[in-house]
This record gives sequence, structure tokens and C-alpha cells, in this order.
Amino acid sequence: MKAKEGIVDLLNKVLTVDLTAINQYFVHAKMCENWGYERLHHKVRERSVDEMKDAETLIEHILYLEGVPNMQRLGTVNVGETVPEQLKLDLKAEQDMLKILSDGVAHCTKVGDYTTRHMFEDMAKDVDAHIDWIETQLETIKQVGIENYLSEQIKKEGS
Amino acid sequence: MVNEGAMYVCLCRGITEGRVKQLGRDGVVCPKALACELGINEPGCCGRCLKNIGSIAALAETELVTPTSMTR
Repeated sequence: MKAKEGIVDLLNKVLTVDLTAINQYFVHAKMCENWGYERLHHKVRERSVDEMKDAETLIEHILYLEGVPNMQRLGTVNVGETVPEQLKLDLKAEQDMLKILSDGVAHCTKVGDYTTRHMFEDMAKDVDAHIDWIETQLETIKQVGIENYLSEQIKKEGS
Repeated sequence: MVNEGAMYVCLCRGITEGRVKQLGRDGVVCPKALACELGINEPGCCGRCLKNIGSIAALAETELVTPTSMTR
């Protein structure tokens, strides 16, 4: 199916942000694992996988619209040296993503592409959940202190 | 305490903001000198950080100890 004006470019733009996020979250997850923060590793890795699922949806949709998914282009991967910095950088990435998705929804409405719009809305919902989680972590750190927070991350989820 | 602004400025060379600040304290704040010192203008580096050399230099400059503050 032929895409409406600007939709493939828009999907590729979201794909770029998504591919960047996959890498950023994944390296953060692995750094947490290396530091022994099992719980955090698990949580951050899950976020990376969520983005990968979004990337899959985007690629499929671009191909369906007879476009070429741009897997080459990547944004800047911002890697934090410490857990709080990682969280802050991830929060920034999620907020940027939310902005692009909201603009995307507006464009889709303008050109009347409701399928893509629905897809963006679903992704925005996930981004919202991610932002909520990160903000909670940052607030917890503020309240209990970084040492207390990190000592809780050594345990595995559910243990 | 949460460490402010602790991120990697270059992933190819694994350069941290701490390293840049240290160079600033050592008096290296000129963009060209910083690029040479950090090796980000050498082949093998993707060049992405070289585009942001201005902000790297600005970061180094924040740590530069000026003679007036040294006499204090």
C-alpha cells in the first residue's frame, strides 16, 4: 500500500530514535549487571526489549507502506557513568521519543493515516509507562539516598 | 550524593566527562589541543564527538583554574 505524504519519513524518524534507545538502554542494562545490580539490569533490559519490539512493528509497517526502513541511521547514544546519570539520560531519551510520537500523531491526523496514528499512540503509551518508572526511581533515590537505593538493586526481582 | 553530569562524551575512546574536566584542570581547554589529547581526531573514532568539540571545550573550561582564583 502506498503511504500518505511524509508518513514513511516520519516512521523512519521514529525508527532512528528507537534504534538509538535500544542500544542506550542495553548498554546501561549490561553496565548494571556488571556492577551487580541484578534487579536494575533486569528492568532496564526489559525496556530495551520493549523498544526492540517497537522497532519490529515500525520496520514491518514501513515495508507494508512500500518504504525502505533505514537501519543505518542512529542518534547519539548517551551513556551514563553512574546509575542516576543513566536514569537521567534514559529519561531524556524517553521524553524526546514522546515528543516525536506526539508530533507524529498530529501529522497522521492531518493526512488521515489512522493506522499509523494508532501505532504511534500505542507506542506513546509504552513511553509513558517508561517515563513513569524512571521518574519513580529518581524520586526514590532522592528520598532514600543513592546507597540505599543501590543496595536494593543487588537483589533479583521478586527475591 | 548524585554525581552531576557523569556521562561518556566519546564512546569510541571511552572518554568520560571526568577525564575532560581533569584536562581542564591541567590547563588544556583549546578545542584542537583537547581533540589531540583525547585522540578523537584519529582514525577509528566515529567523529561524532568531534562535532561537539565546542561543548567538550566548554566543559574543560569550567574546571580551568584561573591565576586569580589560585592566589586566593
